[in-house]
Amino acid sequence: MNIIACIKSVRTELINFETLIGDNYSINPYDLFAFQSALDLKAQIDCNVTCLSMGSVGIKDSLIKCYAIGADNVVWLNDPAFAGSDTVATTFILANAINQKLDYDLIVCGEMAIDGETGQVPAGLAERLHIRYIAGVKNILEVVNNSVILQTSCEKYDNIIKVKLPAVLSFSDFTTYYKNFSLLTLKKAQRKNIKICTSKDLDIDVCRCGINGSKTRVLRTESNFIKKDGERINGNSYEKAKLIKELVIGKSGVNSAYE
Amino acid sequence: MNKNIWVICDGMIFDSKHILQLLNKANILAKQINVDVFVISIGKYDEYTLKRLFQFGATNVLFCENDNCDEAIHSNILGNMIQEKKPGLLIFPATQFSKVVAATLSSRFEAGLTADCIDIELDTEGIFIFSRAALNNSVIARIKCANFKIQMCTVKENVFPLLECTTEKNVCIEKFNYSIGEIFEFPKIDILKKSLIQKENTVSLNLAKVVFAVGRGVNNGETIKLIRKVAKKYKAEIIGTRGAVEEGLVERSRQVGQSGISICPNVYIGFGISGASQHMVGIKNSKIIIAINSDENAPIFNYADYSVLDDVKSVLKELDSLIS
Repeated sequence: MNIIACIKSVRTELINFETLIGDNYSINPYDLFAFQSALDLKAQIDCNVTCLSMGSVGIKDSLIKCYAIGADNVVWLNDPAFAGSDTVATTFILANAINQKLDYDLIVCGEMAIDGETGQVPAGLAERLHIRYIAGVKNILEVVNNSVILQTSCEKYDNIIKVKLPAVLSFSDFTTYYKNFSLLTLKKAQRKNIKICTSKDLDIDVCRCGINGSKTRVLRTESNFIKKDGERINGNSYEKAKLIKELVIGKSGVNSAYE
Repeated sequence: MNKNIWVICDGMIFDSKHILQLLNKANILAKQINVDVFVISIGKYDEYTLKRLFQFGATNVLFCENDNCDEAIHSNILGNMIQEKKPGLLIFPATQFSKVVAATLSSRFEAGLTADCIDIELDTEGIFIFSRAALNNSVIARIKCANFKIQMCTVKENVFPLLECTTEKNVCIEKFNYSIGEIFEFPKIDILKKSLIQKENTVSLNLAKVVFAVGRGVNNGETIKLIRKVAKKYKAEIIGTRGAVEEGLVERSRQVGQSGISICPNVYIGFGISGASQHMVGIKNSKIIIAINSDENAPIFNYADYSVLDDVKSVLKELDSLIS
């Protein structure tokens, strides 16, 4: 079975990692969960897991980690024409790369990236590939014939569902823990070949990629919060606690319930 | 001529508080550019509910009968409606279901889609400006669409107020028909087992008057135990930042901020909270923010009403002994 794990590389400083490696870019923790779920499946049945990631030169660290954790192949969509893509352009590029370069039965993604937090790519990708999309996946339980049995959650319900392949799954959980990762696997991974794929390697309309192909533009950003001239509470810990208690009792509106 | 604004109901439910809030905003925008507000209701016909939408600002309701609460079917019906009616702006509730529908149709129609908006405005040229919280530096990004035919956005609950419109409106419910053959191409999903999730937390967090927020700074089992104990005494709910959730200090359902929920307690006390924007967006409506941190450069002190520069644990111990 061929599985594609879509990986966004995000700035390491945004993540609280249990194992700090000191790289600039790391695997988005939501994508890491999805990717490792695919590797769990690979431990049970015959699978080939390919990581697919789009980004500029800085993300190489993150792609090496994909090999170190257990990817069979890593494909890197790297072209200046791809830079600045919003979700519409991103799904266009990913779908073209997948259709032209990769075989798949299953595509796994994290629910969102921790930097953008839009969570729009997995559904858009499924739409462009004309295949089923399942959100809120917790766990892949089993592969039976041409279907997967999944544990999912949707708003108020936990479900066990059976879905015909191919499909795009997005996992709602994240992890910052690398399974089966060591300095030795990292060292070996550094020698593996990351397949770079540029816009010239694909038959793709570059006008629909990157900033040119994006449908949204960020006009400007401004401070979200008004800085307050707050009050500094001084004194020893007891005095501070006493004032905090008074504030809670005085301002919370539940004072009658205390003491 | 300007194109109409559509508010898309969430799955089969037409008149949730969330939808009525979006409708209120759509109504304000529509008046400014002189267009109509359509509410798109795909599900079971319920005249009372559909008529109610007109009290909250709908000028039209476009209804389509459908028994399947399936994102793919929903997307296809809505897609057909879009093709036929050509709306200008679609506003979706940012729920799990509707986010899938919005993302699907954004790629299908190459429509600009802004997720989790906190405001929608019109600039001087009548172009929609979507605001959303962006990361890294406590900022709001203002976003507009480019080379588009359709614009879309999703909006979380409680971003806009709920207001009933007083003006009399004609009730105009239009039925939309489709044939199932053209609507659906995928094999059905088999639901093998369905069980209700125990969800006691979300309600109490929204209503909590006092919250104790736990940050990654509280990386110690003893301190978290103490926080739980003191929170009980002060009748506070415990919430956490994403960092605290990742560290396993707080349950995921209690994560507050950009990727969690938003709260507006009377008193918020941050224990070892640094004040990253991702968390602050979820608590900025708190009436009083008290921050306790031993790092005097913690950004949260810039936004706190009361700053306490101290060791979290020693303050907690004192808070504990103040109430027996």
